[in-house]
Amino acid sequence: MIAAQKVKIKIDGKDQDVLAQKVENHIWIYYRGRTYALPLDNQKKGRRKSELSTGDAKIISAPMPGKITKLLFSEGQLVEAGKVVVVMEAMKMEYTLKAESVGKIKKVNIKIGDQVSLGQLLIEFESDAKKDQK
Amino acid sequence: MKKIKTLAIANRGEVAVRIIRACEELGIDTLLLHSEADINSRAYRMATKKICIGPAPTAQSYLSVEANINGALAGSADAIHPGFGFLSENADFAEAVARAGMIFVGPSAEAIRQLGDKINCKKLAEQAGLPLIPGYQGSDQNLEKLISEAEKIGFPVIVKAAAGGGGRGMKLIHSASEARELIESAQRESLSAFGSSLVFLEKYLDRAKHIEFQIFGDSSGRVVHLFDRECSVQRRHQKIIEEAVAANLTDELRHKMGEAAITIARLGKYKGAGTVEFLLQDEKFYLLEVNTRLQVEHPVTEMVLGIDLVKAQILTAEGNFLFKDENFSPRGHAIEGRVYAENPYQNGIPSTGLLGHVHFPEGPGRRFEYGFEAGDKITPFYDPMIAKVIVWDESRSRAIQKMIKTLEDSVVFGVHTNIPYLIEILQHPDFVTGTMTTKFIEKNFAEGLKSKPISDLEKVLFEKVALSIKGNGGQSDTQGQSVHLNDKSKSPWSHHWRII
Repeated sequence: MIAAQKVKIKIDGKDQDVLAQKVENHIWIYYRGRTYALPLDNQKKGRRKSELSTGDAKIISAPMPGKITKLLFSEGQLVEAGKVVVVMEAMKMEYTLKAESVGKIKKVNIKIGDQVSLGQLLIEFESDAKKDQK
Repeated sequence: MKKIKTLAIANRGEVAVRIIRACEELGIDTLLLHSEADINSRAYRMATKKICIGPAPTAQSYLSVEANINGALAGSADAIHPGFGFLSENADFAEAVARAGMIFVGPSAEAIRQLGDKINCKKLAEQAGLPLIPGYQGSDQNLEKLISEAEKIGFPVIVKAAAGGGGRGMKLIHSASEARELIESAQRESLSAFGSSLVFLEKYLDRAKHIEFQIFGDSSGRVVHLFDRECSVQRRHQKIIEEAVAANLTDELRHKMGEAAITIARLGKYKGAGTVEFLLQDEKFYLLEVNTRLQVEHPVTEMVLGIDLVKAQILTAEGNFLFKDENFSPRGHAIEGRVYAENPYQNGIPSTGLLGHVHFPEGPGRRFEYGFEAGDKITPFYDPMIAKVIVWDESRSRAIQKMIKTLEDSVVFGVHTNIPYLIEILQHPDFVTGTMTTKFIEKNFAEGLKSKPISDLEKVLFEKVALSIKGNGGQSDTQGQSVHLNDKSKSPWSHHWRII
């Protein structure tokens, strides 16, 4: 890891000082009392949602690294919107992952006690629950 | 009196560093009992000796009585300091330490059982006529029984780990429909964090202040209180900002609550440092619990009283600490902000990873307690608190000003932190006036922080910096570069801004 550097850039004739450093896959910048992080990969695979659930109703992925502590549904079961599907623990706190919309579980990729990484695919739903019910 | 030569530390992070510092001043060698995950930490680099007691999961390392005792014996320690959390309030551990021929730096196993166990403590307080919050502390832990007791108390009801503290194993139940799920969740968290699934129920006060008293029993058995702290700023029952002394507490209440704190501590024949927690609502106070250990927020008390609680703990354990003067008088005001590795713009989601540059700039009245530096890894196995920032100034309003500036000056790269969140809290009118209650966060910051817009100048500036660092393997070549705002680059970066 290369040390953080003081960078001076003149914008419209005025010097601006920032402190910057590349750490793993982000560039970190400190400027006037605030810190900013920039992801280095340009692909749009990043998590954009701020909730502890995935925006995509078809899957549930891990919003953080942690341990799976509870699974409330199994493969083939129909889940109502808003129901807790997975409970995980990170940094000694519990987080519940809920189903965004109604759907039938196609695949459960985890078991209780599993250590999962950020973004790991945990639960897959059938592509269209309503069609399946017919 | 028994002089300690080597003190084992059954803990990690910033508190391990705090204990090492105290030992260095007292001329005591330290032995760090650490997990495999904590080799890259400040405490590891500072300790005289270190022994790995197990893998990262706490049940096999920091929460294992056997692993800690064996490690301490292998390193020829003659005493163990448990820090806070982990085994610090475990009476069996205190006993095991004594059985192995070592000194436990803390109260007796008996005092931990009496006061640290929340159910016993309430019984004792009830007998002494101290005010308690209505609740259920029965040993019948059947889920149906707990649900019916919760209904009897009347919602909102709080479920808590009997062996716990620090917000783990604690849930707020608003209505009967969510009772089952939340009680079960509390039992699981409790088992995972403290090794016991025993919980109790309590009526939830909706506009109370959290006020606690530092107590201390010296070697002669004399128990005093060392004034109060306010910790009303809590999220998910986890404290975020603490201060000494409490904002807006009247002298009359301070006196009454201090007396109540001493009463319960004396009943438990308390030795060493402890904390008696109260909730205060409508001028009425209720005893919440006693923490039979050093508290995370102990520095604010140290700052206003000019004392060193960790050294006092160690000296008391040696049988060598007496209060010369009981007339303590707090001076000025101290505030502590807990720095958590989490993203405040994503509702406080934990952030883990490799730490880059970390800088906490010194200044008059500033104090920093931290356990990790550049190159260390923040792992998902432990509590997210990575540092504490403490300030002291002549008055509360000046201390708030100083805290904001100190946090703005602090730099942490590599993981997201709640520093912007702390700054927003410190500027909120309810905090500034000292009228905040334990509902403060829920009421004002339930959604975390909204991301702030980036100015055109910042966009151009950061893009220049980022592109040059990225294009040069991390080494900047932009020194002295000159840019004009109107010739904005059409870089593909523009769409990928994410502020923390």
